[in-house]
Amino acid sequence: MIMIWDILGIEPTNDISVIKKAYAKKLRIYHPEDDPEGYQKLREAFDQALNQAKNSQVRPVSSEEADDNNTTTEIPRRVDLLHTQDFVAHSSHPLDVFMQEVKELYIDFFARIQLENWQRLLDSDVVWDMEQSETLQSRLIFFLENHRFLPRSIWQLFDSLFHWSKQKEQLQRRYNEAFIEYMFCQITGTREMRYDFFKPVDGLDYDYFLELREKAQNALLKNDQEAAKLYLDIAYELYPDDPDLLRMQGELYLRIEKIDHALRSFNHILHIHPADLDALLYRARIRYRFEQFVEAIQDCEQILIHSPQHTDAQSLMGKCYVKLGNLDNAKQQFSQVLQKDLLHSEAMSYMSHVTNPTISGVKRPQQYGSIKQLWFNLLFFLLIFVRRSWVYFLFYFIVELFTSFPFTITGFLLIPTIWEVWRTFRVFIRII
Amino acid sequence: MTTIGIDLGTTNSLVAHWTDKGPVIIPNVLGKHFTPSVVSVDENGEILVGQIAWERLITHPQVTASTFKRFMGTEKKYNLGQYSFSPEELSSFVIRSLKADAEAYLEEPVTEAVISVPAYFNDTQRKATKRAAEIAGLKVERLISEPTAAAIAYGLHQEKSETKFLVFDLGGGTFDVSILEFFEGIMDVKSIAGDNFLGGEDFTELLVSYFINSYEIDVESLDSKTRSTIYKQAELCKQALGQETVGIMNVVINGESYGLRLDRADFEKLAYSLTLRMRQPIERALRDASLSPKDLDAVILIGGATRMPLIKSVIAKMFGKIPYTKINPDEAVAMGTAIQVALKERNQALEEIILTDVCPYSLGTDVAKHLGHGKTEDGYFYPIIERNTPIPVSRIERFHTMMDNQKTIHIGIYQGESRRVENNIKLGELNINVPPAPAGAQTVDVRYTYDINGILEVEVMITSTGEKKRIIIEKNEGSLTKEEIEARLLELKNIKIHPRDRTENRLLLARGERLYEESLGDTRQQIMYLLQQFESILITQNDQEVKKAAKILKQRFDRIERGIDF
Ligand SMILES: Nc1ncnc2c1ncn2[C@@H]1O[C@H](COP(=O)(O)OP(=O)(O)O)[C@@H](O)[C@H]1O
Ligand SMILES: [Mg+2]
Repeated sequence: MIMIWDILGIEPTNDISVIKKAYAKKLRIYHPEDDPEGYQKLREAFDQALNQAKNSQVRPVSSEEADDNNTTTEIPRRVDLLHTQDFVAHSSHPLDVFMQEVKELYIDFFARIQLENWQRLLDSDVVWDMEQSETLQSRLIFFLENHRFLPRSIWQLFDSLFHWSKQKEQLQRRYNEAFIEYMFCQITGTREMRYDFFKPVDGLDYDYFLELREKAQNALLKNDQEAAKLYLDIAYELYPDDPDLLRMQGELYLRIEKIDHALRSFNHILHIHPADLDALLYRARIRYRFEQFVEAIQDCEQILIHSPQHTDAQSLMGKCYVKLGNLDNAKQQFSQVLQKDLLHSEAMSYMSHVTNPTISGVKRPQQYGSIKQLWFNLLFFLLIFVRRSWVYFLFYFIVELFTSFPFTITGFLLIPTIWEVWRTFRVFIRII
Repeated sequence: MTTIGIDLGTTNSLVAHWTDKGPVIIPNVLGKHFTPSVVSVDENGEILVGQIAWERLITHPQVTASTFKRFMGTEKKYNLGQYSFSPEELSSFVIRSLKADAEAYLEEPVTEAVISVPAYFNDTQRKATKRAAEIAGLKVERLISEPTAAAIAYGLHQEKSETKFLVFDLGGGTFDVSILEFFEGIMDVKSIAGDNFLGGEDFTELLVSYFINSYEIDVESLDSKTRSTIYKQAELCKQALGQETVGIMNVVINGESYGLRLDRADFEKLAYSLTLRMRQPIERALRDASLSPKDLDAVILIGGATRMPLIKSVIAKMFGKIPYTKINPDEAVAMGTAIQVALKERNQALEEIILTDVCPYSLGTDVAKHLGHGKTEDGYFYPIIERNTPIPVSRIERFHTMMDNQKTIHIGIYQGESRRVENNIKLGELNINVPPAPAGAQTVDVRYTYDINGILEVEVMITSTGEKKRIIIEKNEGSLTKEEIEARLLELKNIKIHPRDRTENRLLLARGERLYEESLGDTRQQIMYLLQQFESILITQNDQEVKKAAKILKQRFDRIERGIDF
């Protein structure tokens, strides 16, 4: 510690201007361009001296800040709704006023899920005041930790304003790590649940419902079926018309093989929201299982109208056509799927089924024999062969390049590839 | 021996000199204060620079280059017609043009220059800038960083007490925030931050997409010229919104005329998401400098895009202060370079200013972490020199082996701010063999040294044996030999530059061609007629007549462009 004053050439002091003068004087000796090491020592001494001087002048942790955090974190969720009158602003500090407005907006469920309301609120001058920015953000994060049920668009608004997702690591150090992770999921939408289907219901505690919905989602993720069932049932009692809840319900029924129940859930979703792609796909799959192929195709067509790139739906449609014996149509669907997604495994395996008459039992139409088709098949199987055996080749070449075993030994490495050639060829022959 | 100051910008460049009355911007041959940093090649293989080249961005996009400063110091090649140029060669044409303007204006040869560069430019980029000047025939003794130049222009270096200030630079395509402190003759850069992809052009793009969306125009169906026309109108509209309360765009597409009006409030609403993007760099710069906005004595606005009123109001909201804008924001840097020239020549006052700088990004290595249960995960970034550390600096960290009898230790060298190395930029790597020992028993000392010129040196030493390995990270300056460079210089010298005295007429013709393409029907006929007339006068080589005709033609074009003759 004494070192730093030696380097600066002054007696220990808390007078910043004395420190700066000393540094400036020494800097002419230890010039950054001429004496990098000398400069670094001087600079470090200077920064330390400044820090010491500043710390000795700084007040202890401000009680005001400590207060902020407590009042916001300790409010339990349900009390919020019951004691709204407690939130009369005590202070006219712009930050307090802002937080008060945030609370008021949050309490009104239907106002809170509207993006415009938050946009308006976040346009307040205090949000733009850099002086307040840090405190404001920390108060807001503490508030959100206990009031986290907001649509994704609003989380994204926060993010575009405060760039939280770019500072995930710093935030995790400062705040509750799990909550920051949660916030990040909300912003990126990895586990998004929707808010646009709620209707006003007298006496409904929306936050309680949302909490149950979230718990159900977590339970399903962990495949804790009992817990999921419990949460879903209570939530369903409270509010039966939420598509996301119904989807989870349906998914759970599928897992426990209650297909009829699942179908009912998905039908319910489609009643509320006819263009719900997940529900349509689930229903189509169930209908496929029930051998209602025509109906399943209708659902898939619906999906493709809204989302033409939906390869799963299209592949399912192809499977329905196979079952209906309409191979032309099936092939068309599968080849379209493979155009959009070359590695779609279901479509890939069905493609060979479709082009294979012995399995489908339907006579191969004329144009299959054409040269073009043959080429297509050749290429296709070459691709499959390469995909199956590139590792062996790679391994072979590495051994060849980096070791000096004679071919009689390395040649053994080629056996698996020959085996692959034979397997691919067998399938190929069956098709031709 | 005359020295000039040059602001070599991404979008626009300026030249200034020192007079008894202070710094003065030198107008270019067209009488304008700034020259667009655009280079084009014409049908005869002649190089065109500035406004004419800018006009040709619309009509001849294949043979015209802009925003090449972004790639300064890289190997990127621009193929313009029969030539292929590097970013520094293109910059040299801009500098040559500025030099010619200065020589014409000062009526004496110019031999030296002070050039400004962005604060975050590393050594490679700075050297490339110097070389660009040398190719243009100017000696460069000193580069000055843009925020420092702006601060000098505002006379902050003459303040008696210390001052801390923030320089907010919103140019054409880049946004830079720097916090500086001046005390006791020292200009201390405390932190820099920015967004390399945010600038005035993004605001223009907003208007372009607004226009396209409101008429549901299919962009794919438009040819590149129509697209550029829309862009041009958007730019005019954006600038108009600074002076007036409403802006207009007029474009003719496939024979139909489309018009659009919007007021400042509309524009601010459109620009909302862009304004949001300015927050983070500012907050980051403040945090890195451990300063709060109230510690700042001034906020200086530079860069043409800060002329937009919405920027001033955002700044006022953010800092609770009215920003400094006494000097034209797009001229402040050039003014500063001219002052630097004077200070350097007189060898007084500012020569004493010592500039201390910071490292613009974190530098570190990749490490593996124990996750418990004997599991490890690699790919973590371990910063050794943190962003905004004062430079030059040298730091040592010790690392140990992770496995029993580990044979080598691998040191990847990365730059960036992410916790995972895959999201950072890899600069190089070093492998060093260590004697066999149980996990953790062998250690290496890794030293990172970042010098004043932005060159990073990494040295690894095995503590048990003292064996060392070293690597210097400095992007190679191309693999040309000295002879090759000389040959290239000669080649460049021989490329014809369009004669300066004909620039104005040339520009009129280029502008006429563009207008011709943008307009239709009667207006088009009229432009064609005007151009033919003008060309016939040009052939007579009667200076008097040409001047008169040029003046009239310019007025006509102005009217057409403002939509009066439509
Ligand atoms: N009056 C104005 N109103 C709005 N924007 C302007 C105005 N004048 C110039 N600009 C914008 O400033 C940008 C160029 O700024 P400049 O500082 O010259 O850039 P650079 O530093 O990148 O060379 C362009 O995007 C231009 O549109
Ligand atoms: Mg600039």
